[in-house]
Amino acid sequence: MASAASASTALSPAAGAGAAASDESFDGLVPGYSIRLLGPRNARNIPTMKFIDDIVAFLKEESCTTETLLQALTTMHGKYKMMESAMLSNRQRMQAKQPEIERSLAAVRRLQKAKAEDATLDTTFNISDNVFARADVPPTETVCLWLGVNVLVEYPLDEAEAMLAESLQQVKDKEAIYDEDLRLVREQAITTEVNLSRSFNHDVQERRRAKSG
Amino acid sequence: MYNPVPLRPSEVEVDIPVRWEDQKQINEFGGLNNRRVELRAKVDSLKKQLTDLEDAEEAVLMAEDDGENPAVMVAIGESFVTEDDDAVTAFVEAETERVKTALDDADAELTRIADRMGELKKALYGRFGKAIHLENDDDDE
Repeated sequence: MASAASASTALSPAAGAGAAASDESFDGLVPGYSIRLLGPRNARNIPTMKFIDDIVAFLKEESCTTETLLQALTTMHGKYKMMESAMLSNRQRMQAKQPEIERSLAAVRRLQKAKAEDATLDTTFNISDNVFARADVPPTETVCLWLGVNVLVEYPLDEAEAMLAESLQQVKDKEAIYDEDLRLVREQAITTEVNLSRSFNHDVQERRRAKSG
Repeated sequence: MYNPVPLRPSEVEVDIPVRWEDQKQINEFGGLNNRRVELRAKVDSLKKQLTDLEDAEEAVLMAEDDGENPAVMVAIGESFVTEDDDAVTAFVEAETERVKTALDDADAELTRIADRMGELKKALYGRFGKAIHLENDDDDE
């Protein structure tokens, strides 16, 4: 049974890309089962799915039935799908923030430009829904930023610009992390799906053999 | 938006074993497929932005003809700022350039993805035949 050893060590290297190198304390058990189906977790504790190289050898090694394996795989598939949809909505929220910050940044930069040129801005601004008023904005040193939780803080233009640029970068960084996790989770879901359908096929063949034998 | 790549319970008696290298190809195919869906949405939104900018360019030209200048306002942040002719033209040009570059990048990536997916399709169908299904319902190619 040479393949038995490879079955237990056949972790997905693709998943390893984002996975922490030292995750040895992780037992790899599927929650609620005593089957070691999971491989190293990444920095956000997302476990990878093992690719079952040889189903017969894997079942023997984990001493479990095909039925339990199918149940454990189905559980993990559900978990990956749940993670996927949670991440999708998180990422969407992150993406929605981006144009908001970009608009603020453009406004602050326009004020900076006006200050540099010592020019007065002729603006038409929204004072209420569908109501606009005109205002001349003389060169200004400061601008107020809405920080949320009912707090408005006045900053020098350059500081305001730096702050907005930083939060824009933060949003982009977070989005990149969600992208990476999403890719990882979807990959694990596909591996789980393939494991599932192969285990299912194995189950069918087993039953058929039992019937005919 | 997510299109799984399921293996059909094989109807054929001969079961082709799935190797780790096959699994990696299936995963790569699935990942590319997702990326393609995202890129297509991005391309649509960029194309709309480009049309809007073309409209803006035309509107600026018309305002010039009417001698209404400098009555063109540019939406910055939540308010409108009256800008002079040159500034508006420069603004529209810079935005058009930015959107075009993004569109070209997205198109180039889509082409790369289509090429790679074609390769993977060939390899996977070659190995698994009818036991694997790699088509999208919304595929128009």
